[in-house]
Amino acid sequence: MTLSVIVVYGFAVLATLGSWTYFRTRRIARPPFGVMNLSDVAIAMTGILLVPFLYLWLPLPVVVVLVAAITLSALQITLEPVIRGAVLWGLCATLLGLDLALGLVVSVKGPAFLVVNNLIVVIVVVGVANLWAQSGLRASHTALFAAALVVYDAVTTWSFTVTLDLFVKLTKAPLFPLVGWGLTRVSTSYLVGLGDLLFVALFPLVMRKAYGRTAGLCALVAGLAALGLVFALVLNDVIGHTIPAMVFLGPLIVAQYLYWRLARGGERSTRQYLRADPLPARTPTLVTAAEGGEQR
Amino acid sequence: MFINAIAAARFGMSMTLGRPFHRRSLDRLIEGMRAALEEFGEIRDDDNVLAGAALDPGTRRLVQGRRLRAQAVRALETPYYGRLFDRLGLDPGELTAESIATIPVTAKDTLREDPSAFVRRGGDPVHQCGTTGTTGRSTMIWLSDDELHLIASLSAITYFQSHMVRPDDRVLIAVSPRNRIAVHATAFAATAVGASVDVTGMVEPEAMLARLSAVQPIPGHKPRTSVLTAHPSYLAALVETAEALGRTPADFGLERVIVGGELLTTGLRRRAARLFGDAEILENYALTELVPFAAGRCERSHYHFEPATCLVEALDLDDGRPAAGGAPGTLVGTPLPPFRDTTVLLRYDTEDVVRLLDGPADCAMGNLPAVAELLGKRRHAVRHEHGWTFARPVAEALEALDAVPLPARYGMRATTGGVAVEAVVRSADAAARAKVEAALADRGVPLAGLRLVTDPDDLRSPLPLRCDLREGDFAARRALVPAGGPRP
Repeated sequence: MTLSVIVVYGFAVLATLGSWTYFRTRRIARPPFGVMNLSDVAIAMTGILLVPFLYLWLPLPVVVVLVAAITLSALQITLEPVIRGAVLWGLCATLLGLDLALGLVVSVKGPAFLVVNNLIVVIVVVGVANLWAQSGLRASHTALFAAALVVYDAVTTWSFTVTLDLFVKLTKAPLFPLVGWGLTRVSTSYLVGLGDLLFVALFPLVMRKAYGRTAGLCALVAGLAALGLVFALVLNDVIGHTIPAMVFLGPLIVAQYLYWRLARGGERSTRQYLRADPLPARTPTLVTAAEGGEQR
Repeated sequence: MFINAIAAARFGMSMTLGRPFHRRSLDRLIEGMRAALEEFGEIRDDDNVLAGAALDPGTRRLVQGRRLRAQAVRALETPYYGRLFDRLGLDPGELTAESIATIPVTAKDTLREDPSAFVRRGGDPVHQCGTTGTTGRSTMIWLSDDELHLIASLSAITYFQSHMVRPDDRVLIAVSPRNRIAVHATAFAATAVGASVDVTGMVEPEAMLARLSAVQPIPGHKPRTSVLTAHPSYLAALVETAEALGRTPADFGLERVIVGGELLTTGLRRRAARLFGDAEILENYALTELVPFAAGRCERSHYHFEPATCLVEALDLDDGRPAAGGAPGTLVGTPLPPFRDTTVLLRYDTEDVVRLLDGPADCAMGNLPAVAELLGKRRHAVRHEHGWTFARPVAEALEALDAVPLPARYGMRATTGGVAVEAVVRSADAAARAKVEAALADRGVPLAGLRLVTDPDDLRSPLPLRCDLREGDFAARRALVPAGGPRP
């Protein structure tokens, strides 16, 4: 169990630091439809409410196909500012193919599969966090989103078995949107959902944009510390095994937002953030010379 | 963002299916652009979600043919085209872009005499909008409220994407308020971007110059007018008056001047640049009857049309057949669905003469249909024994000369051996005559008579200028009334 917690926590750190670094070095291709706003948060929340029921209702192979399509798209969007051309599609296809092959042929509980799957989840978290943050998501909207998820997560985990049922169903097939380790035995298995990791990774980005580097770093440290605390409490049997992590993360996010809001006032727009804190010179995109790809 | 994506999809569906645009979706697209501008400080080129893929000429003709058929079927619901199709035995459902010539051209006078004959049954005509009437009386069209909103929304989207107007700008609209569509669309678009707007119409040039120079700090905007929209002749009047008053670029804060509705000459551009310093002069072409059809200029000075809004033809001035490359032709336009469904016009003769390109457009906007230049109104052109002389070469020749006060006021008529020109100059002496003759000759005008005057009232048949549609005010009026009040 201890090893599982350490490995899962390691991937969580990787996702958070990866998102932070990506935010300052890469410009993701944000959708050309304005700004990520409160109505998008409401739509995302509706999706979070409905998707578990959809996944539980749909046959598992259909769920896998759906998740594969979403994952491929997320990998492509995330890696596109880093790698271009055929190499990009090759890498995305390889990751996806490896995950499916290891999961279907070997085992979804084996370490080889879990390394690949965890890596994919980390990349997806980095991509989605940056897509939202770089699309102008405000810290206030993120805090509101987190607050809504606290209620949702608490209800679905503690009052119903939706979360547990979903975990059980998804972990039977490859490409599950969870970071996990030690799944061969119940006593050693440990899993954390993509959504929880997303908020740990996302909030530092929107806080950096809204209130500066210090606010962002505080959010990063606080998020990882809170996650570490939850893991430690689980490890020491202080709290149960199936934990709604947002119940711990959400209030912390809201509290931080309120503190900075009171201390600094209104939050900055992306334009103000980049003017005050310009991005470093661009790192060239990795492309092979043979492809004649464009260097950014 | 998600809602804007749906709005963009609805816009695309309207374009594809020819269905009316969803008004709230247009509003959402504009709100999204405004939010993006405020958040990111820019609208990227790839944010242009409304621009469809550039079509090859063959596909474009197919798409336009389909939309032309749809519009011709709608035209059956108007009294004018219903009667016309009946008389000619035409089936509009069979029309193609190639067989469009079977529909007779709709003359400006026909529309002017009875605008209601072009209003579709089932339309919702609530806004009557007119031209300024430089070819005679004002020409009117009817629009629905949704159409007027669409026109204004498209202008706003253009402003967002072209950066023609920015959030901190102060826009002054100095076109005739009777040009209702232009005033409404510009004011709506500028405020949608976040700029402040001042609609003055064309007041006396001295008063306008004072307004342009005035420093009036208001939150979030530049201290002085930064964008002026005007007709070229009014811009010319401003330049002339400012030069007489000894004004310099330091007296103004103008950054962009948007002109349209008349010919903008190279001479006026040069003299305006001398007065307004680095201000960029942007020219566009649009006309009330074919709205929202419009053209913008590329780096090679071609006029490029957006083919989605209108099917454009250029017809030979003498035989009415399609004009040849490099030749002049009168612009004939058919507004296409879903842009217009109240006043329906098929093959409307704009009376604007253009010179066609001699080959493919080798410029950044080469994927859009284009013409080389605007030559002026056909009814202002002169047919003589050597061919046609248009307003453009005469105006270019005159406005290039400092001896000619701005705007150039002139008239022309056919005479034995070519064209007789009359023009206003500062001093009708031999030196001015020599300069004017040389300039006209340089522009290829077959001059067969020249009459120079110093008083515009001495011109026998001057071409009309929009700058003469001045807005009066009580101060100017009081100056005309004798002391003690008006006489009974």
